[in-house]
Amino acid sequence: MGLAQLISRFRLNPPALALHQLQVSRNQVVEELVKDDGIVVLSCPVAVQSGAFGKLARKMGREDRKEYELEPIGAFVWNRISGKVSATSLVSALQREFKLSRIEAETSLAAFLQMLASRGLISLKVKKK
Amino acid sequence: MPNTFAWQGFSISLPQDWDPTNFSGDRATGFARISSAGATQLQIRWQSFKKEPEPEAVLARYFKQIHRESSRRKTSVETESKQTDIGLEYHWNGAESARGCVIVSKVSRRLFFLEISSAKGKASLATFREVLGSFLDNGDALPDCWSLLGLSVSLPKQAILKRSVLLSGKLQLHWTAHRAVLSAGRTSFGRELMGKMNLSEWAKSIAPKGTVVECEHGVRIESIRRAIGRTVSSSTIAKFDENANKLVYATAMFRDPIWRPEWDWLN
Repeated sequence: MGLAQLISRFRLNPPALALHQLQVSRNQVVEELVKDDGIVVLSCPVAVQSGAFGKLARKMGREDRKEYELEPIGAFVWNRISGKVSATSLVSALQREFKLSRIEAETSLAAFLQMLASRGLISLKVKKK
Repeated sequence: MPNTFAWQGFSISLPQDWDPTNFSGDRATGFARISSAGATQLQIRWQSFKKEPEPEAVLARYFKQIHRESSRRKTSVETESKQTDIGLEYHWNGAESARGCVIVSKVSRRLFFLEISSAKGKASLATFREVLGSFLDNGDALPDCWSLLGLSVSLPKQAILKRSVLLSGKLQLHWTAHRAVLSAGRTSFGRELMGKMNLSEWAKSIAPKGTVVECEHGVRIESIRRAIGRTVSSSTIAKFDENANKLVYATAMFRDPIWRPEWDWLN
């Protein structure tokens, strides 16, 4: 999972996500493991299931966690999310590091952040003006 | 690094964080939109003409549209225009504001509309002057230059753009010319890709068949296909620009050797 998978998949349009108003922060319950090859493995607890399967899982003491692997470009963005960061600063960092044009960096980052947020790994907050 | 947008026979220098996001049409009639990081955007429209149009009449029609639109929205709009060396410059201020110029180009016999629009009162005159001052209609001058988002191609003769693919991290332009089919492209994350494969392997993903020759500029792959009564050659050049962290290529299938891609095509 990561930016590399998102490359070449999105048409270059100004992203619908208003990046200049966005603050990004990690979900505190997410645990990370950095591998030697720059890959970061994120582990996040999944929501407790209701019903028979949930009861069974709790009884067996199985920890319900889901793992996500971030390839190096995705890990680059993840490593820059410490505390609350603005999405604009992430765009600038991507542009600097990978020599991307602004629109490319914005399009890829918006898709990547939406993907991380939908999996509960980060939270996105709109800054008050 | 200058941020040049060269398209359909004209070129313009843009501020660093302005990128083209939308375009349509051909050399005769078309449209391009360039967006800045903020709310400002530049729109360029062009249309060829047989009889030279009166810029004042063209602008009057446009202002009429603006007034009609603003009265529909129940807002007021102020318009003004003035003739300069470049063309008929104008300014309108309503719910949004814009500065533009109507240029009648005798070089290619095309009428150009350049307009920078922004939030009310924020259409900067300095930026407008800078952008407008860099506008150049090359007409049929050769080489035929195409430049956007880090891809810059100079073709030895005019070709017709058939398709453009603008994706995050990947850009491709496809043309046709007399007895030739051409493509050029740019892929971002060059360093990261070169960590997984070498340049020859990457070039082979564009041109799977042919003889691979490595040279100081990059890699060339060539093949010749002989059919009854004709010979079709194909040639692909690919290079890795480490400073810009990008991979660029030009490829052609041709019968006329003028269309064999040369390294100076990829600036």
